[in-house]
Amino acid sequence: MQTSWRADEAITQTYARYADMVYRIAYLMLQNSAEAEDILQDVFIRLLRNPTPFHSEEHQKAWLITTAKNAARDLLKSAWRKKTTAITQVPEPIYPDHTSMGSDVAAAVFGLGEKYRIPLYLYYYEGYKTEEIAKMLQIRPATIRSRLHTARKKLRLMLEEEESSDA
Amino acid sequence: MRKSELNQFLDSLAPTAAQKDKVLDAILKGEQIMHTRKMKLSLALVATLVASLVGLTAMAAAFGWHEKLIAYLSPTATQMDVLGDASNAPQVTATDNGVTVSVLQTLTDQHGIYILYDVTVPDSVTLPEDVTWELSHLGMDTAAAGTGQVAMGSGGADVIARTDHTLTILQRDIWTDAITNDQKVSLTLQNLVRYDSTGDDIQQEVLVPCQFDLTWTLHYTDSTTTFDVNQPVDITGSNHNVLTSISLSPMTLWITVTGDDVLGAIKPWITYHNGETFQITQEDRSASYLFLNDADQTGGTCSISYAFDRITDLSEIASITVGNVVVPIS
Repeated sequence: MQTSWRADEAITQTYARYADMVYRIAYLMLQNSAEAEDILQDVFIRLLRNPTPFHSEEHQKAWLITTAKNAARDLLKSAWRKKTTAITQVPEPIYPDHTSMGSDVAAAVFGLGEKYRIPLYLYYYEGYKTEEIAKMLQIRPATIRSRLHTARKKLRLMLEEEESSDA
Repeated sequence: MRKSELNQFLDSLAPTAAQKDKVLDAILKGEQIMHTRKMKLSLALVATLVASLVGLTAMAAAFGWHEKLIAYLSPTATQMDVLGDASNAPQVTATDNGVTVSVLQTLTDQHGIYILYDVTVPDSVTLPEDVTWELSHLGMDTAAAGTGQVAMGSGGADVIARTDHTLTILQRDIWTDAITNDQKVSLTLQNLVRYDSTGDDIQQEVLVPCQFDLTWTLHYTDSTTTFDVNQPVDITGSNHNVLTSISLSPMTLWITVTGDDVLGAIKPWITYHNGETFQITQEDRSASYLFLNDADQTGGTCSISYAFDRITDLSEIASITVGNVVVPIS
């Protein structure tokens, strides 16, 4: 039997608010929906068992981001993560996936290194500042700025007119 | 690329409502829906190994299975009997840079293969918990190879026993193309490594540089039972597809449907006699999908293959449902 520290109702509410975000972080790192589901479950089980009170909604959200990133990274470097290989030629899987919704964008984003994708997501989608991202990812702000710069360059993002000046 | 395009794509990465409901339900019930196979030996497994050592030796002798495979899969005598002629003991061994790899046993059916092998390193090397291969690739020269069709393999590996200097690994793969008797198999393994992610990036540390290209030929008697169905099936709201056949073995399931518009939509339900049911979808990593064009290019066949996570008695399965067609199994 598991030890539960947080009420189911509270977990359900938090899940409704942040499940998409946790799943997106996991998917951006793992590019596999089944593994992203695993991380989603893992993160919320950890939340369920986490006795530490959060100071604020933002504190909890940052904890979820950090935990999702760490869990996905653990799986990414897991010794025997499943591999899929084609033996004759590049397969045409045909079946729909998230990436089929914008194949050019998907190819560009997933063509970036793993270390660029999460800062890009947190900055442009979640709206965090580089200092906040640096704190969550435990990376120096200058490194985050550098990674965002490189990601923009690689994606040829036409964001200059839209972005704030902190990056 | 515009910011709006980027955000629209990121928006699309959200899980579906069904996915979210399934995961939330599992979280609240404390159940495991984990797809990711854990590698660590459980205490229960260790206890089972110790308690049943004498029994294992007798079963191994009787059915020709390696003791380590029996200990890990815990098959019944009936299951081992059914799969008796599906097992091979190729005894392929190679050594490079002090590392020795020995293929101990394989289990094979039309679409699935289990490979049990040992890895031994010199006494001067202590294998860390997170050791892995830099490259691990299973190749098979199946019928589709060289025809322009695509044959795909997918699978994974579990460390089922270990010491400081040895690993016993069970690799499981499924193949969308049929594995034939006298099939040539090649297992390529390269460099024992570990990964360190304590810094900003994931760093690879090569523990022992080594390279193995192991090849052998499979000889087996297929344990697969094929049900020729040939019934119109409604999968996508129309009735123009035909459920051609279902092939089932204690290791894998293989379903074919004629038509070129249902790949990925074939999501069969398996119903057991004890009332349990589960659905296979494309998101299950134990499932592989394949589409083959007809020779005249006017249509094609969609297939799904699936590897069970345990040896299965076919007598436990009551039926398999594809679309609106229910196929009784036993």
